Amino acid sequence: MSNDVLTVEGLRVRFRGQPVDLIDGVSLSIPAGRTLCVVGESGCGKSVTSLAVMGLLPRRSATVTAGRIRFRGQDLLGLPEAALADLRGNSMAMIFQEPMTSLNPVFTVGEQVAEAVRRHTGCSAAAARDRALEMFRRVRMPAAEKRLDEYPHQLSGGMRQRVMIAMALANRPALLIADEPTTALDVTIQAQILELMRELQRDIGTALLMITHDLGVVAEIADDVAVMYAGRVVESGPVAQIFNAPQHPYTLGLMGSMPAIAGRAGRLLTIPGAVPVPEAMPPGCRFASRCPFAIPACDAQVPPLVRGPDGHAHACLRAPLEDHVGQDRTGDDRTGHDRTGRGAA
Amino acid sequence: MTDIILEARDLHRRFVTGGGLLQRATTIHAVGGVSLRIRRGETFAIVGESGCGKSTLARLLLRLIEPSSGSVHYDGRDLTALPPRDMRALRAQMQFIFQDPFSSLNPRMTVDRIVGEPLRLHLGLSGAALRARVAGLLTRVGLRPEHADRYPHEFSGGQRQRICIARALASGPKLLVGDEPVSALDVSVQAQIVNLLEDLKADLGLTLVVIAHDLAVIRHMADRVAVMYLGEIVEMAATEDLFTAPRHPYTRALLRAIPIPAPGGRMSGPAPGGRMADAGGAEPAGAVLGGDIPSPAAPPPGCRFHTRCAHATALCATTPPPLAEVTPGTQVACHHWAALPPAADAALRVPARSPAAEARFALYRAASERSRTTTHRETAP
Repeated sequence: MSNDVLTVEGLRVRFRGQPVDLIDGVSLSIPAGRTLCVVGESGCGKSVTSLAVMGLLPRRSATVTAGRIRFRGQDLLGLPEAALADLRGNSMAMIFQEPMTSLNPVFTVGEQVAEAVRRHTGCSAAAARDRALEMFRRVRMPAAEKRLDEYPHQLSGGMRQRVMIAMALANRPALLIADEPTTALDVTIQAQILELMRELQRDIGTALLMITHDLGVVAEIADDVAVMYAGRVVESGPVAQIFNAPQHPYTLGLMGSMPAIAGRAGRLLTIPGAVPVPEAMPPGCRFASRCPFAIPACDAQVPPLVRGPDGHAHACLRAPLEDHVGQDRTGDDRTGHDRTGRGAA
Repeated sequence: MTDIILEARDLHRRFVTGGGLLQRATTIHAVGGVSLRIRRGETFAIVGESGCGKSTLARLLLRLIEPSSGSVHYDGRDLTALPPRDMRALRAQMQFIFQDPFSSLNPRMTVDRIVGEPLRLHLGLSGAALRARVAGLLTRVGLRPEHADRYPHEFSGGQRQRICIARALASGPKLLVGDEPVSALDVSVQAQIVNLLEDLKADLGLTLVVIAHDLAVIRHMADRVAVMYLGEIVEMAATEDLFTAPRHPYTRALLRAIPIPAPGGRMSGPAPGGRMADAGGAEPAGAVLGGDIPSPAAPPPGCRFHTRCAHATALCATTPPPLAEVTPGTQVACHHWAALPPAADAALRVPARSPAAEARFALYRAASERSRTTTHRETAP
């Protein structure tokens, strides 16, 4: 759709010395003004995907082996570095988890925000400073004018993240990528930052790609969700569909392993084992080695991402589970091969 | 009378930082007058945000650090008065699990030495008996005995936390204190460790003290909860009471801030244009708590929460409220608790899961229990 600010199609990324593509055919798209949350656990490839979009993958060790990344109709993968640098911080911006390591400790935060403005607009130093102050007020920095001249170490974690947001949004980007922006923050501060991001996104109309492992944050901020596991999107769709009718066993396992904030509901569900290492990646569905519903066919083929009419897509041969599970137990022939130990390094 | 395994009486701990030629030393009052009683066999949780002193309190409870004043009593014995030798012997009964399984294991020791050390020190085991016991402990926490000769770096985060738990269990403790024992782990691994801790508690009759910032983990695991803010306990109650009838304004703000993992959760109301209060300002009920946590080096006078509290009055700015019992089993440190909006209105509200989702979770639960009991894959037509 031409309305999409960002489209990623069939992205594959391989790290040097590894036998398989870590990112294995990821497709995503985000329309203007919408929020897509990419959710998954460590090593699922959610951060690598976002770095690929920003053109920030380490060139020596990671290669995009296939796929297309289109940003406002422009193919990013073919762009020279100088053109990418003009886009980054300007029409597409990124916020990282730990604001302390993203800010330069020897410049004041005001200088750093102003620099981002000058780099891309070429305005005067005074105008850039004015813009920085305006942004500080918009992100509700307490005592905004005074904070402009302070250094990152003088600010709290929540205030540093406000600086990052001010810097990222100063040039009114069409796309904002936020990688676990509230994970390092306390819960009351997280609530402030999430509310701020929603409000600013609405005002500016930015498309937001949010990377998180926290399903609570997803429910709060997402319009659409993509669940990733071991470098593939296993389920995606509108946020209500994902929560109200989860299809993929990994999504179920992930949701079920969260303690219910509504109160104890028996033992937590678990996903046995661990994410497979690249050297032992299952040939078919990458979740098959840990999936309680897996059948031999799951090992034989990569399940395609099947999209329903409501935009809800899943990559599971066994979905919908209620149609498939139960019937195969009538014979009760447990002659399948032993699957313990596989993938659980 | 309830059976008290551990009691803290008016614990204080001050740290002095900085100080030198050019800098004046600052004193941080990390824990300021905490008293609590932990019942034998319960899971007691301490919750709070960064800098609230919960980790310091956890260390004080096991005398891993010395209090500035106050005392800790374990089974009626004053730990703070014990000579080092007796304290060391008593440590077999009380063990600590740290947050970060990466830094709390010696990278140059193999797993059998890590887990075996308490067995040698406290129980005097050696040789085959030691090896058998280590193998038993590893199995108990879900590791394989063949892992014994490996080094910590060969394990994932979840497995390392299992090693830490095996080490903590080795000396046969009665009390386990975990400082954020699951918060460094991915959610599916976290679930495995939470289940493991609960199984161990039930099987071995342990008392658990869990320090956490994740309220969902606390609601799942704990029988009672203490909420800390800037070194003080502001509310202590049975877990269900805390979540369904929170009394202290800070507890209420914490509950409001939890992102609810269900569409139509916390932020589903009318779009916020300014729902967030400005730092330090008054805020309407239901608002996100404004402002930052004050520095523990310069805590506000009076009630430490008054700078962020919508209900604060002049009294709060000058006089610290005592932690007082307001209903049986619930203690609150707030001058105005009785005049606040009804506690039930502040209860955490979570929309129910859809029936379709519930049905699939039930399928998942049944299938994973089946595959746990059999090592064979179910086959399909």
